Amino acid sequence: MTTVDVLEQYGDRRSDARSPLAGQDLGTPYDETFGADGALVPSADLVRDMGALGAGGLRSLQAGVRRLVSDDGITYGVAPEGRRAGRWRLDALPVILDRTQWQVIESGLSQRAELLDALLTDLYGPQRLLADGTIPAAVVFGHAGFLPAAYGTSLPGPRQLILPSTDLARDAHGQWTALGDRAQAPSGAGYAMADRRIVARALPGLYRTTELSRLRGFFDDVRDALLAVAHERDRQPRVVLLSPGPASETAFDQAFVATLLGLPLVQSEDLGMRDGKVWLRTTGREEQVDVILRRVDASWSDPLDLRAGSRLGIPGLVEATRSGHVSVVNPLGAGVLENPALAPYLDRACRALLGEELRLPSVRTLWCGDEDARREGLARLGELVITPIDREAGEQTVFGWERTHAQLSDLKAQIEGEPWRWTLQEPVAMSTTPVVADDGLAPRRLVLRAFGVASDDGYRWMPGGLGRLSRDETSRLVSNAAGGQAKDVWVLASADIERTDRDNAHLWLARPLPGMHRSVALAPRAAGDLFWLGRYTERAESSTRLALICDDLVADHLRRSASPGYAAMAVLLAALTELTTVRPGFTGTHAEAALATPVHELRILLSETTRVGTIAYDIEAVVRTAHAARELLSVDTWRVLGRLQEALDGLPDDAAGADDPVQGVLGQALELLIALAGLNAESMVRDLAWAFLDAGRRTERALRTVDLLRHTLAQERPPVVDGQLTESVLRACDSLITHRRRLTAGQGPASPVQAALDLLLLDPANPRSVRFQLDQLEIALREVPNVQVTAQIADIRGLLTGVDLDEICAARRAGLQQLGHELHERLTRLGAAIEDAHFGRPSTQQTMRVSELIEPEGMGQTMDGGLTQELSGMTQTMAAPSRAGES
Amino acid sequence: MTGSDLHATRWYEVRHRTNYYYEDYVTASYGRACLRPRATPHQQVASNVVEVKPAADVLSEHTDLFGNFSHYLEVRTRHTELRVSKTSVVSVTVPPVDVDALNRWTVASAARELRESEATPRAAYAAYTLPSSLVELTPAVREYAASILPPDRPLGEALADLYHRVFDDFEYKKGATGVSTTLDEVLASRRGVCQDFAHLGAGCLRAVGLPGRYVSGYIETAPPAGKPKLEGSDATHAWVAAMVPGGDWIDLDPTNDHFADSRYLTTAWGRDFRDVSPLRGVIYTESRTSRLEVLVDVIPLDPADLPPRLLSVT
Repeated sequence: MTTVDVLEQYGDRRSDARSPLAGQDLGTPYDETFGADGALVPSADLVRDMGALGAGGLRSLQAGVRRLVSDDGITYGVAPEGRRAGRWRLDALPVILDRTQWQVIESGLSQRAELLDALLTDLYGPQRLLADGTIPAAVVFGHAGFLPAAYGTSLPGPRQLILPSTDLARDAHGQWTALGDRAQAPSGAGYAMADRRIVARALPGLYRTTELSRLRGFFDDVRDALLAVAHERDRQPRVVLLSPGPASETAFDQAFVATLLGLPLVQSEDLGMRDGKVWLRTTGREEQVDVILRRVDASWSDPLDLRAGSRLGIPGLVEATRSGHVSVVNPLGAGVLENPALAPYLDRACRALLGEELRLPSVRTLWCGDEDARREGLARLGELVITPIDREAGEQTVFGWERTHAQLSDLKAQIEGEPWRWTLQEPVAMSTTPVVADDGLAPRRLVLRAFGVASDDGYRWMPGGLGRLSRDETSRLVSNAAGGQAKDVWVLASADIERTDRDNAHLWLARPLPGMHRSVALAPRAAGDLFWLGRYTERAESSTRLALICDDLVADHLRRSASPGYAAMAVLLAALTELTTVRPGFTGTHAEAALATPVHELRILLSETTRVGTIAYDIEAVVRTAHAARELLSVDTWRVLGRLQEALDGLPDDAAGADDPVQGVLGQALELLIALAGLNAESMVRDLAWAFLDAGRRTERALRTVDLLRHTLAQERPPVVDGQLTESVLRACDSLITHRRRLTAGQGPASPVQAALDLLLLDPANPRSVRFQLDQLEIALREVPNVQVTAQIADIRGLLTGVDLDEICAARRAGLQQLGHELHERLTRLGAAIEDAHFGRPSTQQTMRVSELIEPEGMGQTMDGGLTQELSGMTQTMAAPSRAGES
Repeated sequence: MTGSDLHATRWYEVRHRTNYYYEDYVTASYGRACLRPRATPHQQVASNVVEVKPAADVLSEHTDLFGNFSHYLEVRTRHTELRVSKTSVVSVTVPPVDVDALNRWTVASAARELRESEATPRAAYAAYTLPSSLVELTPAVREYAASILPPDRPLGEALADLYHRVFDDFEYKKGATGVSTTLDEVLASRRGVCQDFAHLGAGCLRAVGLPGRYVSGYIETAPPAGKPKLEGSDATHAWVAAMVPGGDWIDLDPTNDHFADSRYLTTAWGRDFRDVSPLRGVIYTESRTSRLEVLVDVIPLDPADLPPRLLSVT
């Protein structure tokens, strides 16, 4: 298709996308490219350039975007299969707004933020607006976001609403209208920034030649705003970002925002309450936290004063804000501003509080708690959007025109039962915007989420924001959870504004970041995640190497069952089972059956992601722990991990009859695991994050090497089998070449087995030897010395130093068996000691019994027995996956 | 005891001890409590002493949204026993309820007046008319309310019948209900304790558009006939208060079948028990079980025995 075709076709399609509203024809909606009347608006030249790509060009552009999203590890929610994070969906074409248009939006948003701020201040303070009836009190008291426990708390400084966020859409005339506000813990600013980075790379020419307002300055302003609300003035305030955990739907956004702001990303268990103050537990010490950028919903933020039993908060947090020891952003209780029932009263509140008319219109909303509004709304229920004031009872927004008569009657009864819980809104036409479809361009409805931040001179806004689209051509439901795509939103800049933005970007690099920059502090949980990331990576790599060599041996020797090669193969396959613990495998009575179809057994290692010990399981664990420590890792990590998962997903079916289905996948996986190791070695600053990652890798490698030797060379076999086996073991430990060179040069022990043992256990120069791992472990943990750990390392090294190779190989290698056993035990204990020393968790949080039974008469009560954990026993779905049972 | 005695000024010392015993160490304990009775139009607080063992690292007080004193306590001394006690000296003077004056309103006219009058405090009206987590306005609650508080019934008579009907219709039974028992469950089982009856009373009031609040406190009790009163044998108590036109509150006790009088000592009030629980908390421990002991003494005082220092406070 030609350019003209693509654009014309889009023009037809958007004309067909009339609003399917009952009894109303709102006409062809406003289009972001064609404007209201169908003529291309000036900024749409850029989209016309895109049209020049034709349908095929657009498709490959979109494929490029998908690849970049995957490489950057941008995730959202959980994929349908349930275990992995879902992929963020971004359209390649930006939405373009010109400067004047944006300034109008910005001015309306700023006024709205000022208004909401004044409202928030009043509701948790004097409540004048409730007393004088400007806002009906039931609107506030009936809303789950209003937290009586937070009454009387406030942030220092002139503002309470620090991070406003408003969802906007256009009406039929193209006028921007506020659909609602996000004030609880607005998400998406990080996604907007990530989107920009992708689109900039996908459309490099266009991006470079367009004068465009940059996003980075917004994060600068956020950082300043966070520092400004700290009560602490005598030292650099410490700011953290509190996340519900890596399983959270917007975990990527949280981690990316933390990175952009230079803040430690922490979870509940990283924080503690002491003396009414919040402390960050780090591997070294405790540091007082002055400001919490909160991504945990307020009601989960304090199990003492808010939702009992929550494991996502800190007991006493509300009290700490009240006493001025910590500032929470947005403040606990700001969620009350998300109530759609406030909309009908914002006009008069604006006049009362600011003495101005509202500049940005809200969607027309009827609050059913008001009798007149209810009467009007219920009579037109089938034309309206039916929205509960909060999601506490699980109700969702419903489009009246999509419901049957019977359903509407039920809704009506429900509304009449609890009228204050419901609002009825006029549908907003919503503009359309083109997205890349398989056959050209297709229209989608657009909602723009704008992000603001409080500053000394009012509110500032990220130029643009996060564009969000309806799922399909006819739908008006805009939700990322429902599968909607995102859009990068470009605000065209004039040249001088552009310069200011660049200046900001320069400042950004020059100024020290709060919290993170100067500090090497690492929360014990994060340290633990990194340690296990190191262990799982090494475990996956060592299993993959071993499986690859096994597969080679199978190819060479399977059909020659009397040969020494076959015997060596069988030993190595059994060792593979022992090391991976995926039983029965090649051990015990099952060995014979397994040896008949060895490739099938190897295949299990690559395909069964839920079976502990398989390569597939280890790689999933690598991905999971990497996500948990996302903000501490190099960006390139995600590209490698993405390909690693793809490699495993690409394993041919067992029945596909491929010649050797596992060889290729194993080879690819090994290559990528080596690349991952390289990234860690070459791209990570040698700080504590690296130290724990490396410590994990070293611990695992030492253990793996010892275990491989125990299950192979620790038993004496006929020399010809031993010889084959020794070679394979050396290959599995990537030490074969060195070994051969030494033998040829006459260095080291003359016996090949002893030479191999020397190389793999004792040689301080071989980066694969156990001795080398111990030396490196000591170096890695030097910054966080611990008496137990240091002593255990020294002890194991002592054991190695005393080894006499002749002696341990005598008597059918009884000494080697004994040594292997000792080393295994001590290395396992060392791993546990590192965990105890550095990743210790606080005791279990429980809910205190409440003296619930109150009696007016009779004997004083003494209640015994019964469990105290009735509430605390609940584990939230967001809790980090447990590592119980793995070692 | 004569009727007039019940409305004369009475003095009390209240001792309220809450003890927790754990089988393993508790490393940190964070609590929220109501450790000081509020002053009311009918109640003066002459003194109040709080003790926490082990000593609290933080014990702070603020006035909450409902006007109660609310306390935060943090104990980080490792312990297997936590003892929290308060001793208050209060005087109470609750005048008799003027039922006839209330009867000038009907339930419906009172509800309308409260809804529309400028004199009604709007925030309190909303807070105590909407359902809350333990006072749900289910069809069963509405039906029960309608049987006691029909629109055209005189208000004074209706309020008196509210405590009486709950007293008659429900069996007082310890242990039949718990901290999260719903009103539907109470209505179905027809059993409960004072807390449930107070919630039910509040639910009935709210169902007909009258603000109803949950009041937590104590009541003076007499030992069984011929037996001496035992130490620690009193208990905390709960009842309900209704807002009437003009914004005044009438306290009524469905558990004991009468309006409140000078034997009723108020600690705090709120939308339901959750707003005013005497003590709740979060602990860090590996302990699997705990034992809770609550000892309450409500001791009538003779003002003649009181030091002038205390009396002068009133």
